[in-house]
Amino acid sequence: MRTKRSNEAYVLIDHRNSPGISQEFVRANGLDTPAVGAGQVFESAIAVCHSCGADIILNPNRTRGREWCMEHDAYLCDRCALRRKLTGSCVPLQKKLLDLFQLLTR
Amino acid sequence: MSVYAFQVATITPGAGTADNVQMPAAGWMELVGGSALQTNCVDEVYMGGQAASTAPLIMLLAPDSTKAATPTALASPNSLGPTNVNAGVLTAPAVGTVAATTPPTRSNSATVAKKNFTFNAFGGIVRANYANTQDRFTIFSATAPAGAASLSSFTGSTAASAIGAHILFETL
Repeated sequence: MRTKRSNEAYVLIDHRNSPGISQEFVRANGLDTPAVGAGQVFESAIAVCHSCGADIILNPNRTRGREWCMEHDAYLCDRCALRRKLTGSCVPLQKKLLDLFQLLTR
Repeated sequence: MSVYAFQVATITPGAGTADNVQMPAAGWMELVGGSALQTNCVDEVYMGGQAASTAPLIMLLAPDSTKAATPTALASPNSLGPTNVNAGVLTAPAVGTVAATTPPTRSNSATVAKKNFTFNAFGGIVRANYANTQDRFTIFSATAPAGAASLSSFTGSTAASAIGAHILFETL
């Protein structure tokens, strides 16, 4: 049976032998990415937003609820979740690709 | 279907290019669909730093609004081929490129998926595996923007910092 966890992806950023990335670099470049410092290893499960395909790092320290699309039974990133709240619709990435396929084969 | 590996032994992504700006002559790797109705899903992205001094890189896997024109055929030590020697060979497999007369341009759309891999190319390693996910990063067709994607450095990266990389992808 398919579970939430069975669809997880995985990311590893290994800076054990590297000066790594500083918080200042991440902030200075406006990045939404973990700052893995010198000598550190970052390893995490990630989900993929089913609407835009963006990575969602499953931060165990997050206290807010993780956005979930009940209609398509899949994770949503915060940005697509906001769009769904504003517009009331959620278009999966697979649907967009299918539309493109039909457009090209018509 | 078959899983393919697009591997480059060494590229030098450079100081980075903003979205919607043509990339430099080298330092990127682009994957383009092999035919009009072909779907390629990215299973894994790996990058290993080869720089000789500290070199933070902001590497993006993103669709290209303009794909590379007149690409140079991929040559050793770079490669693109099925990971299983017994895999069925496609008549038109996806095309990997690391150099072209006219380099690609990364999409600046805010509504397309882009994967950000920020790491230090001085000894750093980054690996992301999407094999289990249903919504993998996908390119469809052989036409930009849907059919072409590149791994390249974004503005703010460190110049002259080498990496080795591979992209595993499944052709459906």
